[in-house]
Amino acid sequence: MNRSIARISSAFAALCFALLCMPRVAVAAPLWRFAGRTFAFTHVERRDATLLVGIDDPALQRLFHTVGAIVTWKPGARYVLIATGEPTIVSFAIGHRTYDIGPLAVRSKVAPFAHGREAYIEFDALARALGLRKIADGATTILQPQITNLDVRDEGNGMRVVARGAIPLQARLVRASTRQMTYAFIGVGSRLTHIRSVDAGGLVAVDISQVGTAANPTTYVTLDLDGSSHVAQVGSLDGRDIGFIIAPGASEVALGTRAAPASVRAVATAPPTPTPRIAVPLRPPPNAELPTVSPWNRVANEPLATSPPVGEVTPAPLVTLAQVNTIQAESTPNGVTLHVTLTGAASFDWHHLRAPDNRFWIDLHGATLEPTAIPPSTGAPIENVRADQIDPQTVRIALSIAGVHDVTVTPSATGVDIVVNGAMSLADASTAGTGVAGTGTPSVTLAAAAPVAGGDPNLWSVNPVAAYVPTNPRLIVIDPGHGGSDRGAVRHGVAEAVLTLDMAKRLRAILEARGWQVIMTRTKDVDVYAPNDTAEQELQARDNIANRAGARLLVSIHVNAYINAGPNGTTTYYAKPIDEPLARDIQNELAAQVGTKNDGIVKSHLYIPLHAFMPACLVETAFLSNPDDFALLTDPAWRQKVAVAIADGITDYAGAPPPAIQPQQ
Amino acid sequence: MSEIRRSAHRSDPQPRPNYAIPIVVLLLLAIGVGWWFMRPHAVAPNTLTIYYTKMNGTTVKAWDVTLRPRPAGSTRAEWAHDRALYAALQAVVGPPADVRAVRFPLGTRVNDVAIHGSTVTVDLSKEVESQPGGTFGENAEFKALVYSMTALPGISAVQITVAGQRLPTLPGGHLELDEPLHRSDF
Repeated sequence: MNRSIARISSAFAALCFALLCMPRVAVAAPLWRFAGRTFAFTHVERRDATLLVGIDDPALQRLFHTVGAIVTWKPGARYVLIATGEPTIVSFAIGHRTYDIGPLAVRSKVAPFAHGREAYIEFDALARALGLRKIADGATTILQPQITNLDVRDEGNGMRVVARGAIPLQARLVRASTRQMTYAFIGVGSRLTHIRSVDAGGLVAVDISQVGTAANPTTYVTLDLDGSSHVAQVGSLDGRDIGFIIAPGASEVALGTRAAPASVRAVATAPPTPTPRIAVPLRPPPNAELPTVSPWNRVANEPLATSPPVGEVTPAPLVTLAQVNTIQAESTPNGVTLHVTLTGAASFDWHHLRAPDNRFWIDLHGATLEPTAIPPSTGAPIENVRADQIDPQTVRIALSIAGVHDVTVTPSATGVDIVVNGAMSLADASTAGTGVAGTGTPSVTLAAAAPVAGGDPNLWSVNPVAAYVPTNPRLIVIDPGHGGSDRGAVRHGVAEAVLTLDMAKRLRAILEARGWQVIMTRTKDVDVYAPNDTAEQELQARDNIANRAGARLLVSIHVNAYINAGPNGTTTYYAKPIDEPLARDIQNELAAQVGTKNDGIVKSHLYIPLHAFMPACLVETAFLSNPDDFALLTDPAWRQKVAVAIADGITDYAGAPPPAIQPQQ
Repeated sequence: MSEIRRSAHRSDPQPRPNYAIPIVVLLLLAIGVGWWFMRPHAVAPNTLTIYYTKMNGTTVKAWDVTLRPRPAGSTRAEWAHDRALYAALQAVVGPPADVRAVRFPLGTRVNDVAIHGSTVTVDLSKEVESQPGGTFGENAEFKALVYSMTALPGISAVQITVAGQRLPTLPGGHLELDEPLHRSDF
């Protein structure tokens, strides 16, 4: 009896074990062939006689890479999202048999599932989503890339035919006549094989046929013409598709892939100035690379206007401005302390946003930022420190803090100390406070600030001054975009950095002839801050020149570019409300004088105008990536036109320069 | 006498109250209310509005995409995360191929998204730094992304990070990215 029970128990246990293991029994990996390579998947499972492949499978990863697909998945996620190269988003929901290929809902045999840290998806569904056709070939299954889409649409007076495939397509013209143009797409197949009648725009029909073997297919696309049309092959937006434009008559088809003009002017082809690779200095570069009138020296040696700009609220009237001389970091057992030294008294207010922003800033009112006050590098929990002169009398020191940490602000005789506690805090409310620094008398008022969900960008931003009053109303700052180690956009050997410098010099000459005082942020092909600096250092250095000089306005000159030749035209970008009139006047003159497409003015969150106190704008003169604009940009006469137009725009905006103030005897 | 007794019996109805029907109705009502609040689609619809920027570089246009219904068992926060991730991926990949749109650099991934209050952080891969130069592409790409993410309920700001780091700008770039972007920035 006992033996019988034991046998039954053993059999039952074996059956349970078999049932548990059955769905996940590893199967012998079949062989696949794609793009001339044979491979096997190793992360495979089989359920209901259906093959599922883990998305971390090395062979599948190579396949994704070859077809340009990107997988978004992490353990625990509820969806596997695949951006195909076409591009289309394919979304698989774990546990659901229905998946989406773009707007198309499809049902798989087996629902995707997560096993360990990997998601398994039915391979048939993956192949379909990627535009690959499975063709059995003996012991191997061939994955044949398909032309997945052939789009025929009106294009002006003619037609445009665009083919897209599972892989980047390459077409070869194999037959040409006035009635037919046949292109061979080698290595791809197509299930779209039929004749499609069009009868419009010079295109009679499109005939698609496939020849070759399963492993080496060729698809022919024949365009049947009406006998009086021309066909031109055009590039694509992303290199994955191939287009044909059919234009009736003998007129030339305007293409977006014309070669750049062969004649490139000397200024545009001048080789960039060799830039030695040196360590990034801790202070702005020597004045030798800056204008003769150094804004650094100017701020230090010349008095600033003490009256506050109209419309601004100054917390405490101060006769003389305190100078923020140094900002030093000190690591302590409790965290990090920033010592800010001032030459005099300055009132301050500080704000600390709650999580997740964890941002802190202190505004020192009645203070100027000296070049010696370099924001230090600190350790955790401070991610970075920034110091800016946000208006002529206010210095802002801002900290990005990793995680929730208490911040204490303590005035001292020489300035103010900011202590960021190293231990994580449980506080979940924003805080703020005020006080006076540099008096030797600690005086701090703390207050819980109103919670700022997500952070108030106006508090964090370098605020535009509503009514800016320039300390030097005759001064205009011109910023030639990029330079030195930053070439900007480059096409056919022509660098944006060279073109912008040329136009800026022309503009300077015109403005000076009209009576303006002009400072250029760079007069040579150099970095303004330092070679190989960060974008922020470089852009802030340019803003600092204009801000410290108290300029009337700032114009940054740039050259646009895009990944294809399509976009063209002239645009003036602005960021702050006070920028818009300047941008509009300059754009109006450019539109009237330079002959490019008028792309108007555009508001954007651009660093240069955002961080300039004064009206500022960024002029994208033309597209280096567009053949027509390229020809203009490399023509010195056109660049002169641009300079004149910008100068006229400045005149429209600012009028004539104010008379120079003669020094009192 | 017996007649009188019978008559008296008929004229004394005193019906016993029947509670069964109200109880059944209340139970059905409670089940219905419970189902209404617990049903998978109750939190938010699974249709999302995504924006792309047209080739003029400034005009944004909307199209709708649909995410699979909310998986059973996922929390409200998880569902919000899934929708935000899907929206970010759609915005970065862009509209179908036959739509001419300004697109992020090829290969740009959305590593993840995180929602904190009204701000969503979108972490992009390093490929986003492969900008062709000029303000055109940068402005158009991020404008579409910001419009798409702020179309999600309760989201008003988008913080961009690249490979997990908050950057002041892209290398050689023009847009300031180290603070949350809003629709009003464009």
